[in-house]
Amino acid sequence: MSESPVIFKVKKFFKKDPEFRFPATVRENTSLVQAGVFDSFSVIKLVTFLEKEFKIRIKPEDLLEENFSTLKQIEKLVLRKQKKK
Amino acid sequence: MQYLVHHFLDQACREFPRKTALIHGRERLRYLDVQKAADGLARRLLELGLKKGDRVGIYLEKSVEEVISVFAVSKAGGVFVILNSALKPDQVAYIMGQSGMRCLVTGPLTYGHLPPALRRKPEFVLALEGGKIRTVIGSRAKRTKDIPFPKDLTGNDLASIIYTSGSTGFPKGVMLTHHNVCLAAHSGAKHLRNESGDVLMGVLPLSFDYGLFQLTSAFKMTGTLVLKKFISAEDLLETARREKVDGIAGIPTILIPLAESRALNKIALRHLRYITNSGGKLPVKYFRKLRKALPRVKIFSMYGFTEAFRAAYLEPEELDRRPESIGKAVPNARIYVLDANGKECGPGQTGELVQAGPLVSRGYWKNPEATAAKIKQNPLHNDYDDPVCYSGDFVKKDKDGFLYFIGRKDQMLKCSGYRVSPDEIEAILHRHPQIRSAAASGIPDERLGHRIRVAAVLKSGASLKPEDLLAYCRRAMPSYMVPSEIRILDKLPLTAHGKINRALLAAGKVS
Repeated sequence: MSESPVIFKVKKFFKKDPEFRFPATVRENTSLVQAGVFDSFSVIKLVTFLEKEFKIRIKPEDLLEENFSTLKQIEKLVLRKQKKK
Repeated sequence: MQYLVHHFLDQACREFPRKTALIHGRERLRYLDVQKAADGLARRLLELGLKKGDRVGIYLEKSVEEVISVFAVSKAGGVFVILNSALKPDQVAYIMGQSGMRCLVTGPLTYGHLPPALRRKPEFVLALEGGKIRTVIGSRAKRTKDIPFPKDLTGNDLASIIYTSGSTGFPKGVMLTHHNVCLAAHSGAKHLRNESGDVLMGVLPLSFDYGLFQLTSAFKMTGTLVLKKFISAEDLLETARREKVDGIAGIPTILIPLAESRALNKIALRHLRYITNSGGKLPVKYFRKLRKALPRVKIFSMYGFTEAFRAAYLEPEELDRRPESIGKAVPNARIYVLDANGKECGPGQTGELVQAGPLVSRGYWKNPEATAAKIKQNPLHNDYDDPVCYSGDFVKKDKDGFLYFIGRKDQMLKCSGYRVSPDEIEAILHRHPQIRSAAASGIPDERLGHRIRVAAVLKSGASLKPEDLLAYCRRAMPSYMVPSEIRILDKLPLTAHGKINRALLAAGKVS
């Protein structure tokens, strides 16, 4: 299955930074919180990356687990925010 | 009365089998479901040859499987050692070895974090997924079917070992008996005025004494525990609203963003009855913010240390009058303030907080010296065995008997609710091949308790940059231990006695 550009970039970001633990077993719909990929320390880093990389604005109200629960959900959030602009 | 940890589950399941016990995202488990899964796992552990008192590691993210494992190990007569999922392989390896861990219960995702050598370390490894046993690895033991659950467990048997940072550079395992854990839940239900069916927010890790206490408290009241990993204040508040949460137990790292969140005024928390703070001091201004935004909600200031499980609390009614106080002893605990000669201090006099009563732990696993320094006979009498626990915290009492925290006796730091020893950080830094010597110090920080500042001296010819050292720390340390500041120096400042001058480093007066 080919990956969408958003998922590809987010995955690359996770893999590059040692602050995130990205097990090889993570798929598009794996729970990132359950996999221990990020926590409240590193979620801010993820948000900063998403805002810069995709030129979007993520509000505090968007910081809900469901928006970041999987790679697929992150992609949805990014696409939704890009459309809003 | 429940005197073994799994009695809380047994009793709740007898009374309200169909009541929701656990909520995690979209998952909802009734007491019946938790009981069935815990029984199944306990039976499997016994079949694999688990003996009374064997240490069983639980290495899972916050999940229903983690809760099931706690009760299963208790039922099988084992001692559960909950490994915080934030720990890195080195710490996991140390705890596995030091505790003599015979079995590890894990899941496919956390298992993926372990290097292959560690996967083979325990005699057998069970992987859970979807509340069921997925895989059993490593056991060549003959399986014996239908081994009955042990019937001879007592409240004095060990229930759990909780690892906490130690001043020798390695964590120490605090031995908690079933009595310690159960009596704390009974005590808590009393002073927090828990009600039957309460929905509690389980946002703190179970590897943390106060996190485990949320689980036993919820099950004691045949209530519901909402498992939640802290991602943001907005996410936590929204979950509290959706799940009609009655009580939130937090630490400053969680409660400060909560108090500052705009969502606090927007999200209607109609069911919320109380918030508690433990694991570090919450500055008064945040107590005020919470009180203002949530006038009907009772706010409890709590104090405790793992070696005596829970210690003190401040009645919400006293919060406005004595906002800085940590209150008085919880029910079933007695607190003394003792001077260096073991005499009781008068009002206003600073001394060490010493706790007596059945919440006092059995000390440190396989570490009699450290235990003897921490838990001693009550110095105020010699009539009978009355072990008391020295907290290492300096406090004072006011004339009405309310306690106030003054500071630490040793150099121990509090980071995001975790006790962190500078020695442990330094021990990890010293393992880096390019580092000659290093020192860690804590800078007070409202939100985190302490931020870590590290100063390092490199071996000659080494060219390590601060950012490389930071990347190393992130790989080798749990996130709450990672320094926020790293400096590379030519030499470390020393005291007159030739020891590293951590105070000078903390003050930032070196270059």
